[in-house]
Amino acid sequence: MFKLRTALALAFALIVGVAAAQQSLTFWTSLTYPIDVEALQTIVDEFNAANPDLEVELVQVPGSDVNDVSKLMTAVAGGTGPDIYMLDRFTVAQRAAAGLLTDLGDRIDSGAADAFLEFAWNEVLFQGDAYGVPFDTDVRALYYNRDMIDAAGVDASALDPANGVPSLEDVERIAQALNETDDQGNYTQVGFIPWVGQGQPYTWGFAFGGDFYDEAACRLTPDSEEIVASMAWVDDWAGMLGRDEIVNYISTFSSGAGPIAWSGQIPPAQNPFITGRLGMVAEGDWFVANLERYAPDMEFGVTYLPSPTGEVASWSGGWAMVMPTGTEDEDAAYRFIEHITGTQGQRTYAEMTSHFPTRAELLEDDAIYEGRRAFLRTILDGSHARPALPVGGQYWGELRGAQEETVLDRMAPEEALERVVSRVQPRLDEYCD
Amino acid sequence: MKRPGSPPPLDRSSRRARRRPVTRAGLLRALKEKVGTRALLLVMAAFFLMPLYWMTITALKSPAELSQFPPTLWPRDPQWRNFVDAVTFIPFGRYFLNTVVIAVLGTIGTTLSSFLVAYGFSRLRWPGRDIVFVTVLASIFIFVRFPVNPITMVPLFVLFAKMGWVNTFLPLIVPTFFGNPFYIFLLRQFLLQIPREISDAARIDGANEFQIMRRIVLPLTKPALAVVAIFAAFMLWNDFLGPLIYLQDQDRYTLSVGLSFYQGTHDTEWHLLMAASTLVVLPQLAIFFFFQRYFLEGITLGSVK
Amino acid sequence: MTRNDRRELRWGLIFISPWIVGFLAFVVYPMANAGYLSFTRFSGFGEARWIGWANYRRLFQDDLFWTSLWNTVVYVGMAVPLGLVVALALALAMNQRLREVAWYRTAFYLPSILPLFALSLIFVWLLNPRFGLFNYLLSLIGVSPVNWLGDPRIAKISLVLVAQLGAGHAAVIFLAGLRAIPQTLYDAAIIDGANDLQKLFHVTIPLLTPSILYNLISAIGVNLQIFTQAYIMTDGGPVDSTLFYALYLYRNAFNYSDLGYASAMSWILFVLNLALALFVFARARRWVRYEVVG
Repeated sequence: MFKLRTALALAFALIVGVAAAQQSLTFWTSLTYPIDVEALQTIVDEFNAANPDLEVELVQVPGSDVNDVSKLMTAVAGGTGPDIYMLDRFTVAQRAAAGLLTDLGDRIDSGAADAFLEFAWNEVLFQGDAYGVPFDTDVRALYYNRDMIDAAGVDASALDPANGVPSLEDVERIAQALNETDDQGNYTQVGFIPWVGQGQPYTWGFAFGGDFYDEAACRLTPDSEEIVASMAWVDDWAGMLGRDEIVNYISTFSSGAGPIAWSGQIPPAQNPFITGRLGMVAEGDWFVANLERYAPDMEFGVTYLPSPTGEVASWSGGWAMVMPTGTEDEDAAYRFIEHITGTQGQRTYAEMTSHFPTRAELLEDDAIYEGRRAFLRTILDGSHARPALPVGGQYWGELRGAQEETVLDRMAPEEALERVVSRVQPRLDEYCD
Repeated sequence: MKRPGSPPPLDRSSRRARRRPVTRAGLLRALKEKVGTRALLLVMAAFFLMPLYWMTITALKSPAELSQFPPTLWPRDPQWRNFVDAVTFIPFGRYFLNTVVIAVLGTIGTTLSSFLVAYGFSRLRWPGRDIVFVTVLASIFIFVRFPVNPITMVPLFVLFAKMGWVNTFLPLIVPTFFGNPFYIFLLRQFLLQIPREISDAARIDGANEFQIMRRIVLPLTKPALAVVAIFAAFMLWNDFLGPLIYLQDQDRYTLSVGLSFYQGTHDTEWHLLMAASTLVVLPQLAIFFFFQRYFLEGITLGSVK
Repeated sequence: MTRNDRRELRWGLIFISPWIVGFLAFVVYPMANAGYLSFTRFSGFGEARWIGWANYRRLFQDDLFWTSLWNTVVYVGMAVPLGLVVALALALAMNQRLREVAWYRTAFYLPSILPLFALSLIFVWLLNPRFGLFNYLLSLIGVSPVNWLGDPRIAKISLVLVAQLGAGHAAVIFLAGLRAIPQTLYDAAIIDGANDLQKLFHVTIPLLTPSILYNLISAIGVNLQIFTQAYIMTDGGPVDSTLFYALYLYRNAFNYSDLGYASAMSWILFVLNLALALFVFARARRWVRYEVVG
């Protein structure tokens, strides 16, 4: 009896002691989609179970925008920031330049870097050092409405991925057959509008084989031949569709953000592809889920982005795990980062959600991907990432502005792209050695 | 004999008599008189109610119907369960309580402090008063989006972090006790309209300033205070950035932060978002509807003389 | 100073003491901080590097700075006068003696407390070029459809119109002021033979001048920092026609992590706002009447 009580007391003390010695870490994410959050929580639970001396707490901190990290910035400035943060990988260089992130360089050996997709790894570097670890990624492709194409009776075999990358002429031919107008000359249906959905300058710039940044010269290159050609192509499309008519048509759908609309932030009724008013559109891999939810009866297909080069091209975004400055225990925080971006963590995420991992070996595991997802995975081989620059956000904004000016015929493509350089290059120069 | 310093009793009997004529002919005549006005008001009301109408029909639609273009003007099959889903998607009750606490305490702080300060700027004459009042005007710039316009955001956050107030409601409530220039200015405008003679008379009688403020001026200011209280309450209720940056534990979030949970990077739960937003706005509407008489009694000063 | 003056000064300072503390802590401190930062290069973290007037020099050469300033000034020039007129009209409507007036008042006030993303949803439809109500009404009088948010020349005007839906806030302030006007004054005017319009201009408006002054200075301050509608509905587009000053400032602070530049922008706007407010306030003596004459 006496011994039992002592044993219990000791056991109790041990448990309390262990619990007291347990270190807690906070992990912030701005994701809100329940399936994604559930997957993250699963990975966190796996880690906590395997590491009893640590307890990671997943906290959702919805920001108003993917780019808006005001909550993170104030928290870190005030010394109350999280230990691990899930950051838009595209902004890692930008935030690293601002001093918001901890250099992880020493902890990641060079061999480990090779396990990731090259473009994803390059995105987490700033001045040669790694300030984050890639987590997941996405990819862009061309979606087409089979019902609409069949109804128009046009031959769409060029859009079958088995026939490789569609040519620009193919897309044009098919689109023209889908255009419909009413008696007043307003569009009621359009075949293809290059610049909506995910048709940003990066998309077509990469599809045309262009490069947006010359690392050796530390110079932005949106005025390179291929990218100018891609913008001129968009310009031609606007002219072909009739600028006023097409801008009017888009305004009928969009949330008012000019002639370009984002698909995630406008209600489905305002997405022309979902409502069956647009035949083909460049969109991301997540769009499959949107279509299944809001247009369950639509027969749609997915193929490679059209390109004049005939090669598979796309670009990818995604997330990275970073350690904001001011983390108390960097070793502990890194252990979690290692786990979640490791094979097991990324596998869990890829299996539970529709996102793609950034570890090459997982991309080769056929079992994880089915149907359309398997096809989209193949596009990753030809995908690029946006250049990891401390001026990334501004570059993005200016490129979109250039596209707008071109579509509205206020500036010639080359002129608009040169303006991008004149506005953004000076800020980049401050980081060039 | 009317007592100086108190508002005359509202002449309710005559108002009621005017509103409800006894004869049927009188009733018809009254309705006809106001038909034109009523028609205009109804048209205006319809216009201003459009956002609520749109929110409600969106809240009642199913995801499939949400993708109808052009959008349907009435839900085909009203999904009342969306409201249930909306309050289970996030810890709605918890966030509601948090919001109430912040709104109530902050409203008390704002109204109290703004009144006291406005009193000092209007009911008393002291050298340099109007020059110091310029600081209030100048501060309007900061308080348009206080405390989180990009310029004040970081230094203030660092200050509060050093005091250990992050992840509490304190940074959202305590600053309200120091006056808000918008309401100081507003109350000053109203207080300046109360004749000085009223206060002077009491001063001659030997009352100190606190007594004058409490017993004479405060009752006259009730309508304006009601306006300030309601405005302050609604502003706190709907404040997003403040709670977003200062609250770190998920169970401390407020409703406005909770609303952002329905919005995702690639998809938004529009029907749930609209349902939740409707629920968030209903308490405010109810309060406005039931308490409007408090700020509409007016300061009928004309009868004081 | 007489004893009375000293007394008033003492009490005055006591009553405004919370404000003094608040002003120092929440206004002087951050603005001084911003003033200092405007002469530095600072990302928000690490060291702030002193660069003298460089930020200001760069601002004056920055075409987006001028664009955003112009956009904002134009917006204020349209929104403030229109806002005052709409608020007054709304207040007069809310003041009607009808049994159900409480419902009307609540309806008019409602949009000013709705979250902006909800409001912007309805406006996308009201302003829709093909199916929207506005263009429908225009077509009834023979005007061809307008691309409200997609046309760079019109987008600002559209935002001004959107903002009018939030006039309920200012209207309530006018309403409280309207209720303070004694009926006896109107009675006297009627005896003198005044019609409704004359009553409005000779009784109502003069006695509303304290509220008008408030709403005017308030509106200038609020509209100079117009941000959310542009952030949500247009993101500064199309082609930067709705890139307002506060939006550009915000981008510099948080997207480009250039707090030094943003601080300089902030100070310039502060000076502009203060100058306008002081100008209006100083001249207010000429047209504002405080004492309600019985």
